[in-house]
Amino acid sequence: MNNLSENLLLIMRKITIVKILTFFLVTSVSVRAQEKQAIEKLLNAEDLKIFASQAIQKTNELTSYIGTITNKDIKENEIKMEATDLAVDLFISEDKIVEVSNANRNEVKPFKIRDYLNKIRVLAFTKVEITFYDVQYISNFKKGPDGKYYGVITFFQKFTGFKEGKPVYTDVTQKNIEVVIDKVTTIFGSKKVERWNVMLGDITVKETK
Amino acid sequence: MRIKYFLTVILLLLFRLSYCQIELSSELEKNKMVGKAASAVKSFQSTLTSLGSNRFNYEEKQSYILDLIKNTFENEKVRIINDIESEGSEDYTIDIYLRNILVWFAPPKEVSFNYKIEKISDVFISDEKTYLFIKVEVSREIDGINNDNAKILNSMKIDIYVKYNIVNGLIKPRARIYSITKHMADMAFTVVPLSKNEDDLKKPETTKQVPIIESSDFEAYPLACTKLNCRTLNFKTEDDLYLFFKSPVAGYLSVFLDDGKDCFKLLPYSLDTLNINSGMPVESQKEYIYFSTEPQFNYNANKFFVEDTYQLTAETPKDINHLYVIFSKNPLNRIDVRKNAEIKILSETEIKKGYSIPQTLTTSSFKTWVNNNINNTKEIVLKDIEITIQK
Repeated sequence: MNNLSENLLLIMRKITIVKILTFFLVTSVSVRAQEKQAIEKLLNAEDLKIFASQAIQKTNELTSYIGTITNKDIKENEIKMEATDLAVDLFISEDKIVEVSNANRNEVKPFKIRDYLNKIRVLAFTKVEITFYDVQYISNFKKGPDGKYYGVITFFQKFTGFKEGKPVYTDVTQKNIEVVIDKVTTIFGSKKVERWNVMLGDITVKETK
Repeated sequence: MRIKYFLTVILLLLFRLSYCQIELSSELEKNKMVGKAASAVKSFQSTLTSLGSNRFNYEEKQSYILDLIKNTFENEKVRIINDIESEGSEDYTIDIYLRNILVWFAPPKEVSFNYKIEKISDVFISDEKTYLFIKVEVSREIDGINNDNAKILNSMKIDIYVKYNIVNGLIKPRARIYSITKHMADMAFTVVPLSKNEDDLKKPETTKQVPIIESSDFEAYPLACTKLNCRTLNFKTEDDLYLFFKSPVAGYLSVFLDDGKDCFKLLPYSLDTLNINSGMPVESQKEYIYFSTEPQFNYNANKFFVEDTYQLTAETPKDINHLYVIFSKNPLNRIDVRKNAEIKILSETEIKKGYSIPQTLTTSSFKTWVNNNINNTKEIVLKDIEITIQK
């Protein structure tokens, strides 16, 4: 009798452990499935289009700020410093880097974003034009531990340095821009509408021509 | 028993909270809230114009940004639709939006913002009952040239939401802009009802404040030059003062400047003896620029008529004055203004140069006149425009 009850108890325990294991497995698979679903949801063609377009908007803003920072006609240094602050605000943090290449020297140097902007402010050119164009590639977006989504977008950057109105240096660089997607809320009266907002991360050099 | 009592109290509290209804005590309270919302929008527009103008240096513009965010916006993270950079983000936070104006329209470039209030909503309550809000629909036009020498000229309709927080069941008096979006028609919100308490309605109006009556019937705003892009609420000492005016209907116009102690009659002009103090006749739909002696701004039948011109001076680092624009469909009752020899604002040199003080009455006499003549009629509209004058 004792043996029988011990066996029954053992079987029941095993069933319970299997149940618990199954529960954990199901939960874990379900969480992973939800995560995957969320990422897949993020990666639908429409969202990718929005992210790419927002990333271009942000790089256009960066271009505008760089235009102000390097504009020799603007005499007020405070305005250039303000443009630098605003350009830094486009990035997820001050620690993000911009890699700079030189077509003549075939080298790539990393600068923190603010250092990069300060560097181009004092370049020896009378005018600098930096434009970003042609989205070439958008990577998969992955959720980071901070709940934000991270991906990479590949652009072309054209740098032209002018002296006395004439272009004296030009290079075209293929660059990767890390893109971070966060949420912002727009309020219409008392109705809140959440939408994605793109911020910039590291800008690295892929190839210089 | 204790538990039962406790539960009953909790249930009663929940019942009370769910049925607690916020009401406005009177039409006057509602009008004041609406008026403050309109003032917040005007203050915003005026600061935008100051930020886009070369009349102010970078430091002054920075202080306008801080003032505006502190006094008119809920905080610096309020989101505002991007209407200044066609290739930029969909919207910005207000601090970035304002700083972008400084950066993208750096001197010598300028940009002007012309806001016209099209409609002001009823007073609504938020879903969580934590604030009341008003939607101000504005047609706005931007005209400027940016750093890339690109002409920025566009107009669009936007919605500016202004809130009054509710704390412990009380409506806070400060109006704050908390969102600026593209115009969205047909948004359904919950209207705050007016109190049905007859005792409240019978209560006599005891406040002696000059009422702020927002009217979309006429347009009037101060200028620092005779061009419309000089529209501003922020003046510097020795700045000239001009006024733009346009009304859909003909009527009579008077303008006063209140420094908190005295009210100076600016319009009708001192030499206009025909309808003195009953208001300057104005035609419908005609654009007027007042306080200029340029021939195109002479609206008198006499082509040699000399208008009064005004220069503003500050007595403190930052004076706050009120410009009262009074428009009436009929000639106004006489306002008793006279030369006041006791006001000693001008120096001997200024008097020798020919400067003089306009006719005046005390601020309290002016408010009495307003209470007797304006508060009881819809025929006369008073627009209160707050301006600052910096030393």
